[in-house]
Amino acid sequence: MADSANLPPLRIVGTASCVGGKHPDPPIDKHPLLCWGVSHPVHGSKVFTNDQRASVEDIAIAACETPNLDTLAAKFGTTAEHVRQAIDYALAAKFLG
Amino acid sequence: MDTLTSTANSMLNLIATAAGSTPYMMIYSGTAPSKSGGSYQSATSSGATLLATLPMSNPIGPAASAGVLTLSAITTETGAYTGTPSFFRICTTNTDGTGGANCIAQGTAGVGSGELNFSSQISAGGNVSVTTGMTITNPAAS
Repeated sequence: MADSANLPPLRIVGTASCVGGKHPDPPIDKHPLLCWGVSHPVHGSKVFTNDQRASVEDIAIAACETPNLDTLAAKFGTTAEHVRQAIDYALAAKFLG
Repeated sequence: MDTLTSTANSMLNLIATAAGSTPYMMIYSGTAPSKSGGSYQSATSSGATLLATLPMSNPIGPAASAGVLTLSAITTETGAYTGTPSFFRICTTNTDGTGGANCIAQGTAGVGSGELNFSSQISAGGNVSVTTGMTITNPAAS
């Protein structure tokens, strides 16, 4: 005969939800000419062209005024492909609509 | 084995007493640390990430009835990190303490599963809300 007895475990039932918040940054692995760089104490890290000529954010802003890859590349001292990838990423990250 | 309902209620009321006057619900992602020697371990010991810290009512609920402790309102807070909740803790303060010493209870969580069932993952900066009416039941009363 057993000399001990067990009480059943407690049952917990609850529901919860989470609404809003920061949208996760899209991955950059499809943009080989981009990289994360420079951690700022307030603004955090940003995605840059891998030649460190400009951030995606700066290129996205400039693209609103100058919608030409070659002109933007010349402005930032990088290549048109770097600019194209930066704009593509800016669209994915919803910097640009 | 079962007990008198009044005894089961007393057991649940001990949980409310143990939670103290400044209780928090801590919600984590990652692996929940197992108990060791009857004590909880620090959540960081298993590499878990604290996603959200929600103040609970004082006491955490009114006296248990019919073997059920129904938790009073838990304050909505914003998530600190983005992640999928996997377990939660009830702690006596807003940290689980050295070696998990402030943790008095732990349960499972998940998206669409778990004792604390979330409708979606937690997002950094998003509001995390536990629906009023969460219950802890002591089946020993039945």
